[in-house]
Amino acid sequence: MNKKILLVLLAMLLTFSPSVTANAVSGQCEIYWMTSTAYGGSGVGAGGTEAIQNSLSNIGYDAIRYQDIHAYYVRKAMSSDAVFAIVTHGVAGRIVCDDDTTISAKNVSSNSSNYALAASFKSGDFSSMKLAYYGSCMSARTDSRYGNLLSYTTSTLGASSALGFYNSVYDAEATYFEEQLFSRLCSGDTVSEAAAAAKAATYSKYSDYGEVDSYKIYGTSSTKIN
Amino acid sequence: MLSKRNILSVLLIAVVSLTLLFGANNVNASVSDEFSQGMELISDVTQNKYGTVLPVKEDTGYQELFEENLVEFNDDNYVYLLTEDAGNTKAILLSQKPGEPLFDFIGSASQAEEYAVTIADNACPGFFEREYDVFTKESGEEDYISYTVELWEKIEDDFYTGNKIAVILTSDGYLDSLVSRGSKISESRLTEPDFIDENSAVNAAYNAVESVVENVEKNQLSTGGSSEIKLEPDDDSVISDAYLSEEPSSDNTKAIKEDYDIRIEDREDHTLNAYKEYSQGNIEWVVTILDVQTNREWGSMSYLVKINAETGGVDFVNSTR
Repeated sequence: MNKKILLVLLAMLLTFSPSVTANAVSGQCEIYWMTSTAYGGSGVGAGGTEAIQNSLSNIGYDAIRYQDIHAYYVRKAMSSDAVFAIVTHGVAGRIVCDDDTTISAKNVSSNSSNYALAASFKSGDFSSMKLAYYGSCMSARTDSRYGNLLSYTTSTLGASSALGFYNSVYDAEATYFEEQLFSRLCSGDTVSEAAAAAKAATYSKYSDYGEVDSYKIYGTSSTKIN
Repeated sequence: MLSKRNILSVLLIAVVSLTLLFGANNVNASVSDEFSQGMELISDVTQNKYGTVLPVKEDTGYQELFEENLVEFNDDNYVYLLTEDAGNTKAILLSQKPGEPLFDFIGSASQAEEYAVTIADNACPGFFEREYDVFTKESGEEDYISYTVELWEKIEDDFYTGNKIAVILTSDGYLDSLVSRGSKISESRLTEPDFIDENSAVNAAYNAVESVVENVEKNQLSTGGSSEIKLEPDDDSVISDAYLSEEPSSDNTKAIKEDYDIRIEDREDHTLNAYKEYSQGNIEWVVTILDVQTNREWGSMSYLVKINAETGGVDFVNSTR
């Protein structure tokens, strides 16, 4: 009987201890960055994508990084991604890809260079996506014609969470922010915890937010990717 | 019946189990004076609205993140990172949005400013030895606005020590975050008389940005904007999706776009701002050049350039994405 009690307590200990069970993740992650001339800076463009890729790979994701890709192909594989990240130029409602092509939420048929999520995906198609990171200027803003990428990605397509910036962000600070964001995410923080830490660390390092304090999280901010 | 030895074993396991169940983070029940001081400071900020404040003993990675020795506390909703002596706050981070806001609805920047200054005074007592300027900006949609309020310690107008506190509040009355940034100031460096003037700093900043723009144009000519690992549309290495039917048409795939033009030469169209700041042993002019138009529909760019105020050399060039 004594042994039974001890075994029961040991089983309780193993069952209820949150730190005993190791996390294992798998899945596809795509990370894009655009250095095309539309993106304006010499030697600027990769942002924190290499660090993002390393962080995701280190915890078991199949993380692939692409440079200068046409919007058609950026959009094409998004529904298979567990984590999607893009670092590029942007404007309210749209992110810019290679050859000045753009991705938006809503379809605007008069713009043949724009590739809308609405034109390719149906409700719930991003249900396996834990996080979409739109690392561009004004990616969290709504445009009356093109819609809101973060809202559409989560509310309509079903991704757990999406993060973007309301204002135009400076590249150095945004680079540091996204490096720290993914580092904290891969250490087990929720999206909101990781973003809060990354934001404060950016200010501490640069003496300036570089507008990364304008980030917005849509969907479930308690999402974890690890 | 259990023997005494077994009873002790059971008790030991029960204690370990309860510790793991109810938070290994907060095992230190007896707090030192340092921790008492820290908790008092936190209490001044949050008015004990968010549950019991407890010290965190495990490594949460925040010291590495901020590159400082810090003591950490938490309650139900926030992480508090204090300086090593627990006398000042390095950062307050929201971990989970609480049910109760710290303030009533915040309806204006001036109201946010007033609350933020109170929070900064309580969280960072004695942080500033001089006067400070307050800068506030808003971001977000009409029904939910974030107010970022920054306090910059100053030596004189447009000359700052680099000691700063940033407080972010939201219109629904929540404290989003606080972060302080200290600068170890050498008093003798602050009175250095041979700084270059503002006009010279602005000209040096323009020269730096023009050089960047020139490189962009050169890159355009030499590579056509392509890169070493570009995947062409007929490369199927990224095609894995069955939902799509349309391929990029020739007019939008290979379209020859007008060369990118950053109108840095149109100085009269730009918005300029310049101030001096102490940073890591140097005095720098920080020059921002806003509203630089481009020939793309997604509009203008902004640049931030740091110029060494003694040598006139360029320390840092930064641009918006």
